Amino acid sequence: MRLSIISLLLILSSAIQAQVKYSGNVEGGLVNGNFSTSSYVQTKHGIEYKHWVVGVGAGMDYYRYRTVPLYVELQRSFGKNSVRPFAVIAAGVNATWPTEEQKQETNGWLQRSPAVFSNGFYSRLGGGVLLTTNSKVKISITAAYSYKTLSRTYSESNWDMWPQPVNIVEKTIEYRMNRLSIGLGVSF
Amino acid sequence: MRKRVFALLAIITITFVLNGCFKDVTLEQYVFYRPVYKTKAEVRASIKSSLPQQIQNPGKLFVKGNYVFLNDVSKGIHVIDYSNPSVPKNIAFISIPGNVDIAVNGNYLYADQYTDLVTLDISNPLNVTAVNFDLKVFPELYPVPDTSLVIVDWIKVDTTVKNQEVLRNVRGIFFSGGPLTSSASPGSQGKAGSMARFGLMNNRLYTVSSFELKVFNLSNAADPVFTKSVFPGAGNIETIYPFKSQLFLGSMTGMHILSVANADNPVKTGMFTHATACDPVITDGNYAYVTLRSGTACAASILNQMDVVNVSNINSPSLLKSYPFTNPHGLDKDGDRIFLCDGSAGLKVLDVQDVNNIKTLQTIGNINAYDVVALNNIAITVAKEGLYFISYANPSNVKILSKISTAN
Repeated sequence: MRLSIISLLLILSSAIQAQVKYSGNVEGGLVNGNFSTSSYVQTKHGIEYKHWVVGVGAGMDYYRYRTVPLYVELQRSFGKNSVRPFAVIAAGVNATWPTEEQKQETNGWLQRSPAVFSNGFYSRLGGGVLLTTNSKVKISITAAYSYKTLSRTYSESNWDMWPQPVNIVEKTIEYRMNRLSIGLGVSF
Repeated sequence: MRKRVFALLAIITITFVLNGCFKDVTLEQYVFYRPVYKTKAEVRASIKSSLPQQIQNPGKLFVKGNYVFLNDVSKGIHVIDYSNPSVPKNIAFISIPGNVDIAVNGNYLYADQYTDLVTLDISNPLNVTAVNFDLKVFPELYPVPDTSLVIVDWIKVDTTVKNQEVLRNVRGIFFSGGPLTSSASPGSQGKAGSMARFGLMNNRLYTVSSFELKVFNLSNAADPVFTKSVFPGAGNIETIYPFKSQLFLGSMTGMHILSVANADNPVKTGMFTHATACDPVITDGNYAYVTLRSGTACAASILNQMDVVNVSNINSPSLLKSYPFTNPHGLDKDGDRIFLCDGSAGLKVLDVQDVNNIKTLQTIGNINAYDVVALNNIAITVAKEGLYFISYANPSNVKILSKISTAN
């Protein structure tokens, strides 16, 4: 009995292993919200099993403030045609990486005060099509709703805001950014 | 192939059509100030000497004799006895809500109180009384319809605001119109800082607001009489510095020079134009020293420098040289030394013997210097942290003698 179970598991395992393979993707595109249109690039790597791909990704997102999304992604494709639709969902951390200019806040009668950024949340939900070019490389076109958050804290002085009291106040702004993205990628 | 093209077009179309539905949201946590009101009658009754108070937000200053009259922005005036600069004494406080500028003429102190000009008898600093009110002589400085109520204080309120779309730079309740405000140049009357908007000369009080120079006749010092308004031209005038028979006005676009040969009728004689920035000005007759600084209230200027302008020909002032600084504000000159308030970079002591080669001799750091009056070897310096008394009796060793700290 025990031998039978072990044998069955080994057969199943080898069968799954035969179908599981590495999957990678590099993608770039535009992300558009009410603030501006910006660019993004990302790369993700994981394993593909039948129509499913699960992996981890990282990217650069230049919308409003430069950030580095780090996320886990799940993708499901449909059919086996040369034009294959897919759906994708991702979630993770939105790590801040502001530029030197973005770190500075111009305030009040004194000078610029540095802004401190805190990491936020990143998610992405969308779909697209995979265009098969040969057996190993596919072109992906993706449209997605993308959401990222971060917060920014800086000091502000009011010397010039007469007749308000002269004061230095700390201001924290949490940004919740809703965008749509469109990207072109290569899957391998 | 057609399927692929169709799919691509569909994705692009959906992305951009739906885009208008998505907006950024910002949650903004900040502080604003809620006004506290009193009736005008209550306020007027309270304009007199009272017990000394701790300095909250130091503004402009006027030095007369052994006393420093220091404005506490929008609250009133601290009276400080510095007969011993090493141990200055805060001896009284005169409550004047809405006050920003002051000037002292003999035994009388002139102070703005929102739209009004108040004359105070200061012959006894411990028993100051209001002797005259010129009503609504500064309507341009307080463009809110007047009521019987006066703002006497502000209460700090923490709040969180949810905004859609782009960030709004909410900074709380404020009134438009430039900072009102304190008096320059002195003569025997005393001495004001270079950030002043009140200037005394020829038995006249000259006041400036964004676009306007006003003349008050002080023949009867206890009862200033408004005489005339003059509009020098380019706007956003910030400071006034009377010198000999001229008025030097610092504006955000340049320095105006007006002749007051006829005291009641200032006439513009020259102008030096510079890039847009905040700019107090002083002069020694041959050269004018104009500091330009950046800041949100300074048209987002990126300039931080001191311009030396040749004013030997007042009809045609010309730039001699610019010297870079960190964030220069008020300044004063005594002999060959200029004391320059360089914001958070401290108070700079400059050797201006050779205007083509001005050298920084010493920096009094760790203070956020705003304005200064250099008189009798003491540089009385207003900073965010307090009022400093700095000795320059030994020019090679300028040192802080004492400090009256602010509450913050």
